[in-house]
Amino acid sequence: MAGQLKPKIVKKTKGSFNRFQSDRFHRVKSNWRKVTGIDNAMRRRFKGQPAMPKIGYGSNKRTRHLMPNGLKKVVVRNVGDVDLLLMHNGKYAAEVAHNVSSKKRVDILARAKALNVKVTNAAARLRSEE
Amino acid sequence: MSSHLVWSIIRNNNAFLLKKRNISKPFSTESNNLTNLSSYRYNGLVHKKSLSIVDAPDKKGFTVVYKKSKKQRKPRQNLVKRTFKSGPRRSLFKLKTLLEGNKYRTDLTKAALRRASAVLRSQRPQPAKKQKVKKTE
Repeated sequence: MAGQLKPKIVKKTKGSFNRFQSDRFHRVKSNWRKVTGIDNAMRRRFKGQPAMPKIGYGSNKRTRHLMPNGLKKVVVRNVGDVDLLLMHNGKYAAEVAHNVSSKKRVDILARAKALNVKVTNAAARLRSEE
Repeated sequence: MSSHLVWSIIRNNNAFLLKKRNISKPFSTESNNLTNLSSYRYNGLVHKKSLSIVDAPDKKGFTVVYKKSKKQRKPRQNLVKRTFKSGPRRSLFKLKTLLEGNKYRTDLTKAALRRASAVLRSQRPQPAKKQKVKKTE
């Protein structure tokens, strides 16, 4: 809400964790799989080994799912959904669902503008008038 | 029926409950819900008294819709609508005195005023669109 202090968003990792030996073989994709080998150095967290995901990398509960502007996304499918955000324009931003036509997007965007609700994909399916 | 009983019945599942991804507090779409959030306090169905604020029919000012607690069993006479259209400052003041003077859900007064101001703000004329300078090739 307006006037409330927003905590700083801290991301503890950059990017993704790669699967063990995905750098050595093309057949091993980088999608994360937990290493389970009994002697595996990465599993035993030896020095110099790649990092493995763990719960400590999780974001602060208060900043989780926040966009850099401090708002959370809400997927919106029609004008009624935007109206729900009437009193929450400081907390939530609307994102128009991907399968909404350009014709209906016009109405949604107009309503969002009147309610001062930020729309993350306002430029989508928008063709400037000739 | 007591509001607590009704709330415990409809709390987990009802037609108005609207959950969205990655959001802890679900929305609720029923009328007479001031914040559109799913919670006991703001729910528009379970209480004897509840109110909501919507656009006035001609989009100038707002309409307060509130329940008469004595007409609980007469749905037709249950809801009262009052339209305020005498400018923001006076309308909000009148809304406040309406709620406070009747001691009508004092826990909702603040939210009602906030919603009324949000409704009024949404009715302001939009600023004229700035014309983008066309790129010349």
